[in-house]
Amino acid sequence: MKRMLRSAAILLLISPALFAVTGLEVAQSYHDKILPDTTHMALKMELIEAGGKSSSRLIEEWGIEDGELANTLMVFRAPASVKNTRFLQVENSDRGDDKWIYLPALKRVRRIASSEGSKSFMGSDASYDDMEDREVERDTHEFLREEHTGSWDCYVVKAVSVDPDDSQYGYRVTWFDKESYTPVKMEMYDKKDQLLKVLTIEQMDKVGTHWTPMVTEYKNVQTGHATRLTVMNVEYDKPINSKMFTTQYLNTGR
Amino acid sequence: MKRILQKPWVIITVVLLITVFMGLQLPNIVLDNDVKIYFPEDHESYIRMQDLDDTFESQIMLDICLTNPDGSFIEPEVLSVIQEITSGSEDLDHVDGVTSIVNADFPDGSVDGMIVESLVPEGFTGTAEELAQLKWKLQDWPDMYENSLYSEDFKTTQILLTIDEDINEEQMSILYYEVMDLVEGYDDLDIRVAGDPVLTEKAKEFMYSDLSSLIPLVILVLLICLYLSFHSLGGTLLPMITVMVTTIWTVALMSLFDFSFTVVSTCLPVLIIAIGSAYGIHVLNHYYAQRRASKGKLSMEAHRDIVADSVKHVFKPVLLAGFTTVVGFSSIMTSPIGPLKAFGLFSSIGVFIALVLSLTFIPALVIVSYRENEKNLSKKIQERKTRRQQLSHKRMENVYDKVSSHTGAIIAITVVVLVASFVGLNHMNIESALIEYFPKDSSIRVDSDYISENLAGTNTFNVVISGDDPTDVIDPAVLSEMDGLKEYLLAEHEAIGKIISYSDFIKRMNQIMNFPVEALSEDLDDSYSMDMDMDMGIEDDSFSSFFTDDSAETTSFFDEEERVVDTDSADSEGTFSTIALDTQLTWAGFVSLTRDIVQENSGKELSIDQLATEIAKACNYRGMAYYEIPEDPAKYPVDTTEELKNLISQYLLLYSGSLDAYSDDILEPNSVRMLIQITSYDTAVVAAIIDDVNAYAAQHFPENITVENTGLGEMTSVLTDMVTGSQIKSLLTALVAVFLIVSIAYRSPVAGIFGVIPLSLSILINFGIMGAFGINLDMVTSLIASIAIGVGVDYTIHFISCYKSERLLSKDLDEVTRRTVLSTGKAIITNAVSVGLGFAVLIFSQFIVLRYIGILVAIIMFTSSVAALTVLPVMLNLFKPKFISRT
Repeated sequence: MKRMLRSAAILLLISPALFAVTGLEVAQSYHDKILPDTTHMALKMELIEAGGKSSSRLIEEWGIEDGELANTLMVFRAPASVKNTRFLQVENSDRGDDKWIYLPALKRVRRIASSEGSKSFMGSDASYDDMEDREVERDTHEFLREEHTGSWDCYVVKAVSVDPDDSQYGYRVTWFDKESYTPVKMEMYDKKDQLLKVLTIEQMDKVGTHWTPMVTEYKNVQTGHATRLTVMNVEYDKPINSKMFTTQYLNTGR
Repeated sequence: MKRILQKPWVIITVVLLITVFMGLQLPNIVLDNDVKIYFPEDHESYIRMQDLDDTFESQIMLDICLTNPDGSFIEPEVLSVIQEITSGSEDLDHVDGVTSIVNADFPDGSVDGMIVESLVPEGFTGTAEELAQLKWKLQDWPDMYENSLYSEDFKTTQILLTIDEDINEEQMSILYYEVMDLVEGYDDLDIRVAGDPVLTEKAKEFMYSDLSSLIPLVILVLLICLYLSFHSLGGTLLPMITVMVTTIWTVALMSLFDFSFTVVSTCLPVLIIAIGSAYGIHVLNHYYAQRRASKGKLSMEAHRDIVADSVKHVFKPVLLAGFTTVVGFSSIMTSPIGPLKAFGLFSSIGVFIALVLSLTFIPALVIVSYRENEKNLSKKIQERKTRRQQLSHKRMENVYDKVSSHTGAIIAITVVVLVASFVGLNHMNIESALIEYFPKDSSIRVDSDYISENLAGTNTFNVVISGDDPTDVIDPAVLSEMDGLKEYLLAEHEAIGKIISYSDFIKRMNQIMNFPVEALSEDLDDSYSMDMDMDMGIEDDSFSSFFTDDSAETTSFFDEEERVVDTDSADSEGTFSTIALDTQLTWAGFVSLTRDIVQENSGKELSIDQLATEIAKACNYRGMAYYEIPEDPAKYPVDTTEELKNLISQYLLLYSGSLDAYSDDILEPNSVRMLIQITSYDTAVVAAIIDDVNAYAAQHFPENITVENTGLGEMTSVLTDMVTGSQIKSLLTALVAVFLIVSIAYRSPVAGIFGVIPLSLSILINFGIMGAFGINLDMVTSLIASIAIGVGVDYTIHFISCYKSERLLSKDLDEVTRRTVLSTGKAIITNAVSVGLGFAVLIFSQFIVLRYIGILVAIIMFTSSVAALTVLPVMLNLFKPKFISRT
């Protein structure tokens, strides 16, 4: 879930203002942002149907950054039907992420291996791929313009996958806040170049030194379905027991 | 009338201008045969179908069926063709999704978890081992892939395109040709394209070819008929021009008012040309008679008077004939089926236009084409005409003499025909599937039959199961009944080629997540530990949580009572046990296992396949003991069924991406569906399945669950019921109208009854023939009755009025009958023959259904004219009704 937020945003120390920027520089600056060592969040995930009907899930998330690699543990808190479902994601330098899930009704930990990164993540409008940190080199970045969106002054950059098969999208257009290099809006276009999803940061607060998107919305414009993520509580750089990021913890909760 | 004819050029100019304007509208006419346009938009079945498109996925499918005649489709070359077509289709506009063997998901279990990848995974190079694995994977989940992605002999597979439900007719046509281009050039493979879009497109092709060949043909037939009856250029051309103008106006009006042209409306031009000429013929008949009567040369003025006189003379009878015809046709408008309504409306409008033009345009043309020095009709022709008339009179007399002496025989034959017709009527099959309009040997039927034989068939409908509250439907008890319904339907109905149910996904998920670990437990990456430098100063021995920590701000948000961590230990497995896979099995053990299985299934025939499955289940091979809806708490590490429902919720959380086409909401579905594929388009077959679904639902599903049938197959079946209802309604309306008209005209309800009888008789014979020869009553053939009434009522009215006037002159019934038959008989037969021949050109139609209508209208013209000339006099003579002898 943090990945979802970071692809959406997550912030860093303010980088020196550039006079003339290229798309690549903007993307690189975002990617190079200093991330908190640990993250601990309480999240509300609202799934909103085209008709307006919505249901929500509460998720608690812990994350540890280890250089380039991150580990994330998510625990579903509500509703009761999925309570204590746990999801662990571990990034690897040499291969794809490892993912495990613990289903409380089955009392078993199972590894999930999927090549289907474009599939919905836990019923949300974000895909597994959306949750991933995409290396800068995998796309070409074209600087489009400077523009205001919401309360932010932004660089607008278009990213196209170098290898068309390496992305579920045709291309993406991202609005980076000039001050924090945080993407505050992103439009994702499908392979037919039709707008598919729009990600919008509705509120961004500075928590400690980190700009944090507090309210984020993913909207699938083709289906009208939307996912809204609200950060209900957040702590950065507090010590976290690294045992939490093991299948042992996933299995037993301790 | 005279005043109007004073300025013939004005009439001609106006008609021509309108015709030019109307002619310009013709290219705008839209040919459409989408099954949806046959359906009233406010019908619940239609609304359900729209809902289905919205909540699940579009129901418009295009099916590219691919066969390798010389081997299996599991060969590198064939797979690369499938890949090319698949990715080519994905790029086409209005294609929402494409499913084929190269991109379909294959969710699989492993000792340590779940793997979801494509059947043909990334990096697939087509080695023998990979090919064998692909085949193995397909057979590992037959509920999903069998008869859909592979045929039994592995020669045939298909690529399924889901098409945007909002696509319009024009875009669909473009898409169809794009797909046809895409599959072009693979000569080693047999590629067939099927599905409703193909049906619509083929119907359009047939309609173009029909319209361009049948209209000239019916014009030719009419020209011959006209020439034979008038022997003059004017007499032949004038009615011809009139009906052509009428046709242009009528079709243009359809286009102007946004009515699309359907298979049903293909009959419209033929109908107008065959029937609309009658009024002009009447006018001209009288005019030529007058011309013959007048001696010497005529001045322009005198000629104009003759014309006006003729119009005046025929005005009333022509108007009455036209009116009754309009009544007959407009009875079709009582139908709820859109294209039938439109046919009723525009055939009535067409007849009206033909009527008006015959009384204005034809006389105007006659006037302006007259030259003062024109010779009177040549003597020769006159003589020939008289001679021919005498001849035909004689023939009629002969026929009459032969027939009249056999009153008893007429009655007997009538009774026999009636009984035979009733017998035939009982065999009447009612149908409304568009595909039945195509001949059996047409490529579309051949392809459809092929797909039905080798795969699951292209006719579909859905069973949608909805709960009162969200997640009601994922209750194990409900899902288990859903699974039961599937099994029941498959066992009861051979015509069902395949059922894909939401419950299949849950079963597969349950299987994967209960994959046995004991077999190869050393592989299990059981205690993964992060490879991480722990000296980051972030280490904390406690597992703090926002949700348990009393001081944290968020705790007030969630009333968390329990500890976050599960206190039960993870090793509390259920009591259910299977034979461990690594157990040493003795032959004795094996024999006893198979005997147990046979014992458990006693009374049932077990195939080798089933036995293999049962053995696999017994030892939970690849989790097969869990290919089920988790329903029994004893088998799972839970205490209550409620927890099993939670388990399903947890599966959904995990498997969310692949189920949106089968449920309305990924995580908390209100409704889920099963897709039923049928190898037959016979609506009786579909209706029987639907009845069974309903019966099963009523018996097995709890109160809070609603079961609905919806989709194209279901709509077609409802449409079939509508055809019956619509036929009865329009038939009764027309008969009542005829009854009223005749009753009023003769101020006697008895007369009305006499008017209705010959018509009813010929319609009954028509239905009898249809039943006996297996001709379906469908949207198109249901027009026949109304056409018969619209045209045939004229014969009755003619006959009765003539009989009545003869009756007033004589009391000798035989003489009255004789004179009536001789005088009206020829006119009635001439008209019946020309209408019958006009319709008979439909025999050359591409559509089997139009061929039928051609033959049947020809027959009904014959029977209704014969009934008017035989049964009617017999009855009048027998019952001697008062109205006939009243002055």
